[in-house]
Formats: sequence, C-alpha cells, structure tokens
Amino acid sequence: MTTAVDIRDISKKFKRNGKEFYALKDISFKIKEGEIFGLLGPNGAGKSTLINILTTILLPDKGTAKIFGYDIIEERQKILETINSVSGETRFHWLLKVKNILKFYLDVYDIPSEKKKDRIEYLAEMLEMKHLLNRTYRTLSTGEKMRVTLVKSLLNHPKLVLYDEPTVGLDPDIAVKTRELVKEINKREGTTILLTSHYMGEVEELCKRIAFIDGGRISDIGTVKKLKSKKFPTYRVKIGVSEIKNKELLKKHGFKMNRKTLTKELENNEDPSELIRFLVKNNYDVISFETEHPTLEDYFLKMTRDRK
Amino acid sequence: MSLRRISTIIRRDIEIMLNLKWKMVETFYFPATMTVIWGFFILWSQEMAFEGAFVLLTVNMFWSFAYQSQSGTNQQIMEDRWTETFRQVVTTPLKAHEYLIGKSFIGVLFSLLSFIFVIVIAYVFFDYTLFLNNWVYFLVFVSIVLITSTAISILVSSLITILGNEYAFISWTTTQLFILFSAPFFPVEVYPFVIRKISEFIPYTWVFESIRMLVDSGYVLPSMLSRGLVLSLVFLGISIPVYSKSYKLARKNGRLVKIW
Repeated sequence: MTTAVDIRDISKKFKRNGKEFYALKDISFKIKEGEIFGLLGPNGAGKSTLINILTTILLPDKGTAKIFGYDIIEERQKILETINSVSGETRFHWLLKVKNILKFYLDVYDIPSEKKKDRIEYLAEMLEMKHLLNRTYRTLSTGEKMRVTLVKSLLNHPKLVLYDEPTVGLDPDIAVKTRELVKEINKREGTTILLTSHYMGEVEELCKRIAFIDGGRISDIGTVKKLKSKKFPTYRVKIGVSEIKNKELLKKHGFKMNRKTLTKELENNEDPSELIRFLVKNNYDVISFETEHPTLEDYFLKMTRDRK
Repeated sequence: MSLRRISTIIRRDIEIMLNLKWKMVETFYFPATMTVIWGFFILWSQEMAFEGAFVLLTVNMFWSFAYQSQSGTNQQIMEDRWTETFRQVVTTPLKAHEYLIGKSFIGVLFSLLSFIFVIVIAYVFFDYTLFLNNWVYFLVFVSIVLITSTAISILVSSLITILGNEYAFISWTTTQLFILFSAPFFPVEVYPFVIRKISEFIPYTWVFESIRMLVDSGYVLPSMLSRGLVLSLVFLGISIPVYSKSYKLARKNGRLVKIW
C-alpha cells in the first residue's frame, strides 16, 4: 500500500515567556493511503502544530515530511493542491452565498469550469445540503455550517484531508452525523484522513490506527486494539446467575461475587465461553453475560496519568 | 502566477464589498461630504478673491484618495483575518503574491471610483474644472498616489503579519503619518530641517507641491513629477520583497497560524 504521509524527525520550538520549549520533538511516523488515522493527546501536546506543519503554514525547525511523495518544504504548491484541511473552527465569509463560497474554492483549486457544477452537486447531494446552496453563510445553523465545511474539504478531490477537531462544540446529533459523513468520505472517495479529536469515542469509531502525542513526542502508536491491550492486558466478564452456591469453588476459579453477579478478569486472548461452560457444568443458571473492555478513553486517561 | 486565481479573489471581494454597507458608506460618503464642505469654501473664498481655496480642495481630494487607497487595500487584506477565513485561504494553492495582487486591485478599484465620484461632485456643484485643463498632470498625480498607497499598504500588511492582528490599527493610521510629513497645505520650507529632509523622500510631498504650483502658476515642473514617480516606484520595489520576507518569517515563527 502507498504511503500517504511520511513524517521524519520533525521538531519545532517556540518561545513562551522568554523560554524556549519544544512543541514537537523528533516526530516520525507514517500514514497509509486510504487510512483514517487518529492523532490523540492532551491540550498543548503538539497535535495542531503538526497539522499546521503538514498544511505548510508553519515551517519545522528540523526534519521534514512527505505527502504522497511531495516534500512539505520544497514542494509546497504541490502539497496544497493534493490536500485539504478544515477544523471545527473553520469559518467562511458571513456575507457570501454557500454556492459562491464553494465556487471560489473550486476556482482557487483550478477545477475546470465544466466540472465545477457537477462537483458541487455531487458533494452537496452526498452531504445532503443541496437546499443550502442559495443560502447566505450567516443564516446557516452550526450543523449546516459543518456540512459546508465538509464539502469544502473535498472540492479538489484531495488525496489527504486533515480534520482538526471537526466536531468540537457541535451538538451530539450533529457530531454523530459528522462522523458518519467522515466515514462516507473515506469510503466513497478513498480519501486518506488525518483526524485530531478530544472525543475518544469519535477516534475509536473512526480510526483503526492512532498515535498518542504528548509533550511534543509520540509516546505510542499502533492500532487502537493493540494499544489498548498493551495498557490493559485483561478485560472483565460479568455473569448474572440465579443463585450463588459453592462459593469456595467459585473463589478457587478466580470469581468475585457480588449478590447474584460473578465477575472475573480474563487475559485478552482468553475465551469467555469457557466460563459459561464451567458454570453450566456446575449447575448454575446463567441469566446474563457481559464483557467490559477498556475504552480508548480509559487508555487516554491511563496515558495521561502515567505521564504525571 | 495564475490570473484565474487572482480574478477569483477579485470577484469574491467585489461581492463582499457590494454587500458591506459600511464599506460603501466609507468609500463614497466621507469623501463626498468632505468635497461638499470644501466646495462651499471655494464659493465663499471666490467672493473674497482667495485663490488658495482651490489648493485646499484639490489637496483634500488627493489626501482622501491617498487614505482610501492605502487603508482600503489594507482593510481588504484584513477582511479575511477579521472574518477568520484567512487560514482557509492560505491553505489553498493561492500564492501569497496572487492574493496580494487581487487585494490591491480591489483597493485601487474602489479608491479610484471614490476619487472619480468626488471629482464629479466638485465639477457639477462647484464648477471645479482644474482637472479638465490639466488632465495629464492629474493622471500623473493619481499614478503616484496609487503606487505609493499600494506600497504603503503592502508594508503595513507585512508589519501586521509579523506583529500580529493586535496591530491592525496601523492599517488606518499610517497614511495620516505620511500625510503629516508630506506638507499637504504648505510648502516644505515651513518644516524644520529634519522633517523637511524626511518629507523629500515621501512621494506624496511631490504631488502636493505640484498641486500648489499648478494652482499658483498654471504649470508643474516635470522634475517634481518624475521625482514623485521614481520615489513611489522605489516604495513599491521595497514593499514587495518585505512582504515575501514577512510571510516567510510568519510561517517560521508561527504568526501566520495565529492570523485567522
């Protein structure tokens, strides 16, 4: 599979109160073509600095990155033609009509005139916003503005889109819709997506691989599943039974008891159905069964606690 | 350089300008009222046989024109920053100089429209005909003012790019400073030595000197006009690399990221 983004040893220093600090320090990782990749980290970790460097509006002090083979420093123009980026704070001029905003960006991206109308119509249909095209931007609701932002992010057939906190400040129903749209964009357009978000559920839902960035360094990278199991080697099984009997046997097999609920920690590679078979064999009436896997939020909290 | 991208910026900004009511008021209302005030002054001064009124009106028209073209271009550039759309624009293939050309064109276009508007008012209501008989001189004055104001607006934008949006106020205060040093209503000899030396390097000075000479003796020394024109081109020549440098510096120190 082609490498979409290849970041090598990127460092960036800033000054705060006269003191220099690293916003990014020797960052290196790759993103594959067609992937939705998540960038996680607490506030001030360096996520936005990295996005700004990839969008070429910030120059790194050291290192470089290639996007689809184009160098971010030497081939800025090619990069800007290849990518698109939006954030939750993206704004367009409040006085312009939506279709004129989109036409403006199509022109800036040098999309041929004969294809402009088709592109707007295709994207407006995909994101269900055809009815908004003749509205002035200031009259749109927050969710409608987000749709315009998402359409703008796809106008130039980008091979890579950088979404920086795309759902920040949105109502939950609009955030859900936005996530669905991001998935749809990735599926239908085959677009590679780099996403930063504070909402762990969002990252877990959208991304297969993530990088955890903290203090300007990558402290963990891999698939969501792998990273979680590295920090949490076990998961919890909760079994409801009609009556607890032979407590000694249960204790011996590592069960914890609370009224009519049995709980047990299992290794990630252990099969929970063995427990059911064991209980049934010992004449227990199993009335409920659930597993509790750690979430990405648990992972995030553990990562930030470990740091402290 | 892509003409298509430049014309895109121009088309979008014309749409914005036509919808910004305060902008239209600023472009036409203030210069028009100023012209009417000085026009009445001309009527009164003619009764008093005071020829200087023509100097006052002409200087005021060019002063207003200089202000409009400089602050107008700067406000065009600041518009994207104030409306937090700048980031969206600079992360597209639109090059920094294409953006600047598009914005300057809008600034020049609307200041020219404003200038033509006040000339028409002065002609229709106050019988102001100085420009009719001396249209070649007026063309040179207009060129010097436009080139200088564009250059100053580029320099001001560079400064704001380096210093940050909190310094946006310099976009509408700078021309005033340049006018102060360019002896609008009196000969440069009135200034103390140091200020006089500074004023000799400001292109506006030669426009105002020429206007006084034109009203007073009916002609202008070509050396004055060429000096003003050369100086204005020097201003422009300095401003363009300064803008490129400031843009690069802002990308390096992170200022560009903070200018939304």
